[in-house]
Amino acid sequence: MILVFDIGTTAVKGAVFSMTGRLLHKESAPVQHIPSRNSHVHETDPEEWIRIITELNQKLFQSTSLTAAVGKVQAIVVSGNGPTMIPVDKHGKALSPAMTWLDRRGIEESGIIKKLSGISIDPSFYLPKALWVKRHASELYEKTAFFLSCSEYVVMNLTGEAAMVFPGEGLENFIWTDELLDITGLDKNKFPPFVEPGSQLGTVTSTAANSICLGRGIPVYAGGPDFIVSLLGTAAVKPGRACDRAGTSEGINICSRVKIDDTRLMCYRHVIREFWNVTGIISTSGKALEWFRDNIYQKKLDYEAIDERASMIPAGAGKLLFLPYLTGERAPLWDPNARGIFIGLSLHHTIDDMARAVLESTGFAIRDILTVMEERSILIDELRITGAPAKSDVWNQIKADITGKRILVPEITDSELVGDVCLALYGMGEYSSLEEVSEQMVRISQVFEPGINSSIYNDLFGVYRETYRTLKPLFAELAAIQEKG
Amino acid sequence: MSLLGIDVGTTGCKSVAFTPDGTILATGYREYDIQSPLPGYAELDSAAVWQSIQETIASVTALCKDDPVQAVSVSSLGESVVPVSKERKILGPSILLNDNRGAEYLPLLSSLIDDEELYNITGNTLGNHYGITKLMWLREHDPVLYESTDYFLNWAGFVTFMLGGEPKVDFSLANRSLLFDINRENWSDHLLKISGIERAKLPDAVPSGTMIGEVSQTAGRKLGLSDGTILVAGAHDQCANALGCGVTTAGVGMYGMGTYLCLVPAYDFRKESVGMRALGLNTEHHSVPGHYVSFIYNQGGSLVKWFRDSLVLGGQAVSPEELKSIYRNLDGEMPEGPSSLLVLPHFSVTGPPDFLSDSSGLIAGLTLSTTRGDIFKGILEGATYYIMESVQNLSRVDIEINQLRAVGGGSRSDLWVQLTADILNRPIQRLEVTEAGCMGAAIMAGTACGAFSSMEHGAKAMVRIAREFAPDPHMHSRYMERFEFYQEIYPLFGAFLKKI
Repeated sequence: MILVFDIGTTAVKGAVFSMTGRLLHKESAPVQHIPSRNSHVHETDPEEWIRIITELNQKLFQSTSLTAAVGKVQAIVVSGNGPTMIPVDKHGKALSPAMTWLDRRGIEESGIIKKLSGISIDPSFYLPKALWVKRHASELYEKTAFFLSCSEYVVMNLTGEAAMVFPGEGLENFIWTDELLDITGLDKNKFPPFVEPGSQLGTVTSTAANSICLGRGIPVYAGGPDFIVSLLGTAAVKPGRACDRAGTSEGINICSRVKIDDTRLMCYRHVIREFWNVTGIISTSGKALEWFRDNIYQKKLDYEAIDERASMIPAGAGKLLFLPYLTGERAPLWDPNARGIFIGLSLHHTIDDMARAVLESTGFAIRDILTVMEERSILIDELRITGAPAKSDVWNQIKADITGKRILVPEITDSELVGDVCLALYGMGEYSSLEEVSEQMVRISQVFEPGINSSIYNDLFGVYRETYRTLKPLFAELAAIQEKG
Repeated sequence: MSLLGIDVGTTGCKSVAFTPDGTILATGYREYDIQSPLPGYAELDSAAVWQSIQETIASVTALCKDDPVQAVSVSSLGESVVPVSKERKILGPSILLNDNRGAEYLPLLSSLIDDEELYNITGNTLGNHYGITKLMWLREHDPVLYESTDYFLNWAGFVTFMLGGEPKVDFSLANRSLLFDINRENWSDHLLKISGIERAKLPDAVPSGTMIGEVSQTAGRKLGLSDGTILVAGAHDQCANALGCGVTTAGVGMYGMGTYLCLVPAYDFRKESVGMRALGLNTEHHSVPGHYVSFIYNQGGSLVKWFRDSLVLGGQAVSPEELKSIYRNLDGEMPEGPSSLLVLPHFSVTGPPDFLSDSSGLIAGLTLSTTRGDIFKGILEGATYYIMESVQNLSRVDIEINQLRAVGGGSRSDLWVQLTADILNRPIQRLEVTEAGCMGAAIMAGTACGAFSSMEHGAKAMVRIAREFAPDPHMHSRYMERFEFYQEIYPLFGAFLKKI
């Protein structure tokens, strides 16, 4: 049996799988973040993850069929969100709260790094965070033995070993390089060595065995960042297959034979090392629907009810369009000043028309990214969807109709957990390649083919793109005024 | 003694008896439905509406026997006419302005008279909502009715005629036919000629407030009006409303906050045509002799109703009490000061200056922290910015507005009126009596019967101000920052809005 955990932003999930990849039991529990008055600061208590994992572990094996099986766990893999960084001492004990991937306090440090190296590194990435600690919390910096990512923090607490999963060539600036450590004057010893996903990191120590109730000596294999493991968990491991990580935001990851250089998208080595992963992230997808549900439906409907109503509305919502830039937009626009828009409103539009337009906006935002990919001659056959929105048939069909690509829904939509299982089986030597194990583990339960609504959406997509491009000059001015209040 | 003001609208009629100091003695109200016997048709059942009007009169006179009505006048919807015989028989339905019939004559008319000449004569721009094309349609498609009709009377003129008065129309209602020469204050020979409408079928035109007869015995007995009660030429409802708000001199304007927002400035001589046409502004006789008005309008209450019905209620029906509490809650949800949104209020066909029929509504600037209250406020702001665009250009045609009088359902909202004062940067007075149309009619009635020396005098005596909303200069400058961006949207965007 294989035991896997995924540290999400709002929940930790744990599951037990059979060696053949069958999900035996799954549990999850919410994670709180630590409230802060500073909008750039976003923290979580890392010890809470360990507490939750202990709890989940107990629940997983409480279920009758598994009680006797505690001793049969043959591998553990942990994945997690990132760039989330935790300074730890030499025993792996957290010395401060985790600075999550939403934490942007390293803005100044990002500027310093840019000045020193000429390289732009987002304030949320590891280096600006570590440099922030050095500049603003020197005592903490001195005490820090290692700066760890969230999954590796958990791993160190299981095995006593510090490591950093290397996500892939092209993502060096996302983590760190020797050169950048030199330039910024950070102590290289505080940054653990790189390991490949699936490599064995150690075994469960007796201390961990006692505190977390795990069998001592179980091998722990390297997982990695959630956006990497979910490529395996959806079997987006062949050129033409894209993984659509749907959630509050939405990441489109296409497996590509060719490397591209386009500032609108990111491109780095795929976890299947012979390929490249070309990716673009939509800032607000599920979050837009949540906003609409909370503020416009006033929380009176749940998502199933909204789906049901939206399914009664014809495609195009009576020529009503929504641009989902409620937090600006990342790929492909990279415009922090972009704002949400309803356009095409008339007196006969209903609240449900507007909800449908919000669902459709995600489809248009995906197509905006796919269009860039196709401009770069990348083959796109299909989208393999994961995350909570994957449960919405209406939304899946809308995405298929708008993008013109079939949408595949895996049997298990917690693709991080499935990806972790792939890494465990590969690490154990059960399979000779990650591609093979991923193809074996991922089973597709539903396929949504592009349908008759595609032509309506073709026209609307043109308007969708033009609307943003036309209003772009207004956004910056408006943002300045909004800032002023 | 009392003065009876009647207001005939598209969906309901009202009679109100006032004392000469503006106190309401009795009110009667009836609703009726718009008939649409065929697609594109919209008309009133003339007989049924007349029945409703009579019921409101009778219900009012029954309640003020101690203060008998001395004079009657009427405020009414604009363009629709009722075909009647000399014997005061109703001959057919009354076609409404939004009825599609008659549109086929627009190309013919525009080939026979250019926009400039038409504006110079009538103060209006060609469109199918005016009376002219409806009459042309009747002549060709219902010749029996057309031929047998002695007079086509606007509703105000119809009511006074049916009560025993002479068949007359006042200048403001005559204006809505597109057959009226506002310079000569008579029917235009040229327009009669090119449309082929017979002068004889139209009533003589007189100034609002002219005495046009006395209540007949038959009508008086039936409706509780005494013999000799004076009948007075009324006015187009927008003009009667303005009078009923005390808009009697240049510099003052009415701000109607109903389904449409409608700003009606008064001025004392006809303005230069080229400038007026550029702003899409009409020219019409005011109900106050010697004055003119124009109409600056766009969607208003209809947007609030859309927001309320579509977004807040989601199609559910609620009681009036619940509605009140919903509005109270929404007031509380609105941010102080300008919202962070830009709303283009083109949810339906727009008013002047552009009369856009192929645009659409837009709500821009949404973020995760945008609330329902922000959107509501954004809609009120956008609706008001639309009016502001015209207001800021009025100096070009030498029309001044120094203060506004607010009426209509929306004027009950303190927040909305204050926001309007802040954006338009003018003090707004809200009135005690909200039945401005009936009040205006009563002032005309009182002036004709000698209760007042002039309409100005009548308005001073009857119209009472309940509350004044002063513009906040700081707020005004904040709104103007956003207004600048608002003005950029449509020029940037018009072409795309048309596509969608």
